[in-house]
Amino acid sequence: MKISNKILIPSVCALFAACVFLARTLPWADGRGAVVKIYQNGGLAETVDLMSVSKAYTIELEGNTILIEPDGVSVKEANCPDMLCVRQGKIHKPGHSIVCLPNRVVIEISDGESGVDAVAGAR
Amino acid sequence: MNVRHISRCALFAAASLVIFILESYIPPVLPVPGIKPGLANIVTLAAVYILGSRSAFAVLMVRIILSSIFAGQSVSFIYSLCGGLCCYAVTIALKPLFKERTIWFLGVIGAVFHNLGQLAAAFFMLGRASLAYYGLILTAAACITGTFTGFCAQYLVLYYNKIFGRKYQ
Repeated sequence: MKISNKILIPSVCALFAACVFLARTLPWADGRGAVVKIYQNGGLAETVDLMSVSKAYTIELEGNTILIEPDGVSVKEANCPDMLCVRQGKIHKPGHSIVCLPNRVVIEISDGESGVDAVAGAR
Repeated sequence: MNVRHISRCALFAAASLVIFILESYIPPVLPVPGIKPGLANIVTLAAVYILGSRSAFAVLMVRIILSSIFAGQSVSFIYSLCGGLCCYAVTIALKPLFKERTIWFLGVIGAVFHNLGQLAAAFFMLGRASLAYYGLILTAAACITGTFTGFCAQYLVLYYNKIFGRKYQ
């Protein structure tokens, strides 16, 4: 079998495009292992492991309704006038957060375990 | 296995070790750990064609062991080893298919499998499924860096053969 650059160059490009496409489109891919932490008034109110969520449900807090879905977290309703937290939409990546200042609510997605990146970053 | 051959192997090992250590001083371009040019693979890939598979294995092992002594932490040795062996195995397996103008493709394949090997090691040590996403990013990066290192190795092999007039082993 003769393999020429006419086949190889497009195939490398295709592999690159496929990886970028998959990484951007798969919502589950980087939500896995993520833990949602909900803080109110500075204290930890709720912890949800997104991996264990199979059906969407809501958490009622004072002033906010938080919608937990398998592929992310969003604020569904809020009693504050500006509704900034609702407009921030759904988050799912570790490190992202939704903040509601009037009700002093912080929703944060943390990496399941800490220090993983530091280890994986080693050569 | 004559003295000339052993000297050449040592030269390749030394070159790849120096490249590997210099490369570790290059600051990361993207904030994702694990993405790096992988320049040392130029030497490994060229060694596979110039010195032959078995000698290239020796070059690779010397580079991995010495580099983790000189430049790495203890954890990095396992990652290096898994990545290096994975890359080497695939390169050797596919070597008969790629000659002269298509050698660069093995650079891409090698880079991809180097990352997959490291990822497999990370998966066993950390046991986290979120690494699947990470693998996609690393593979995309490997397409770019692998093309570069692959072409470097290809021109090195072709130039080497032009000078020394040696056929592929």
